[in-house]
Amino acid sequence: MTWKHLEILLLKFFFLLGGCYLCFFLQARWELTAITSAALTGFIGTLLPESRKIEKSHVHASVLGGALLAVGFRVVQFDPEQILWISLCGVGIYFFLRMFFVNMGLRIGIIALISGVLAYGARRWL
Amino acid sequence: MIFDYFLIVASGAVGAVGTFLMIHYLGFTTVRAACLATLLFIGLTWPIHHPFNTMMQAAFLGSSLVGMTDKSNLGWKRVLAASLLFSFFFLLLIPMIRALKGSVETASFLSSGIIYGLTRWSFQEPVNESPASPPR
Repeated sequence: MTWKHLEILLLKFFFLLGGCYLCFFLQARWELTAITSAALTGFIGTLLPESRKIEKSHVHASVLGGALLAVGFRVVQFDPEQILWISLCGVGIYFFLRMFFVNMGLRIGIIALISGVLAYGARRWL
Repeated sequence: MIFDYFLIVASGAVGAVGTFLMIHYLGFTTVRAACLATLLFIGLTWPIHHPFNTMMQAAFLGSSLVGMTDKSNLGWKRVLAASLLFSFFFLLLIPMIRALKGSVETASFLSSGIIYGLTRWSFQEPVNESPASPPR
């Protein structure tokens, strides 16, 4: 764990939070369906300029991952503080999985899977 | 009933292969291709008032996640097989959607991972076994 890792982690966290919150906003404000708002969020995320740092830290994938987290959790029922905790959990999983499943397009899926299971367990047993 | 399920399976297959072709033959970046394909599909199915409309869109989004794999991992036939497996898992998980959130991502992860694992397992190169070492 060095400063470089921390920088990448922070970038990922902020963009994941931004994606999650944008998806929440689109669902709550304009009453789009969850799938539509996730696709719109991912598309808006790809409009960010591509620089080397952004390519390296997978910012576009992080935005889509945040949107998928919002889909998986039905985030409309939550408040902003809970969205913050969810995205913190998601970026933790994403950071620990950075060596595995490279270029598979399913790291984004496994984030939503693991955090969904965690949230279900928390709601059930706590 | 059967026709509805067929619609879901077909939209899943179109999503995966369409995203794969958009990435590798039209030169889109991965995330943009998946999102753009999903937005196009939503635009196409917007005027249809079908009870499975949302389900079809969800299947398309999940299988476009399957289609985001790199070319070195899976070819388009294996992507098609993974999308069929995806819609199988998705149809199985529909009754459990209320319990387990994120069934779309779960199904996409399971199908893509299983096809990738099968590929790695079945096309493994034979290991050059060294002659049996003498017992110690």
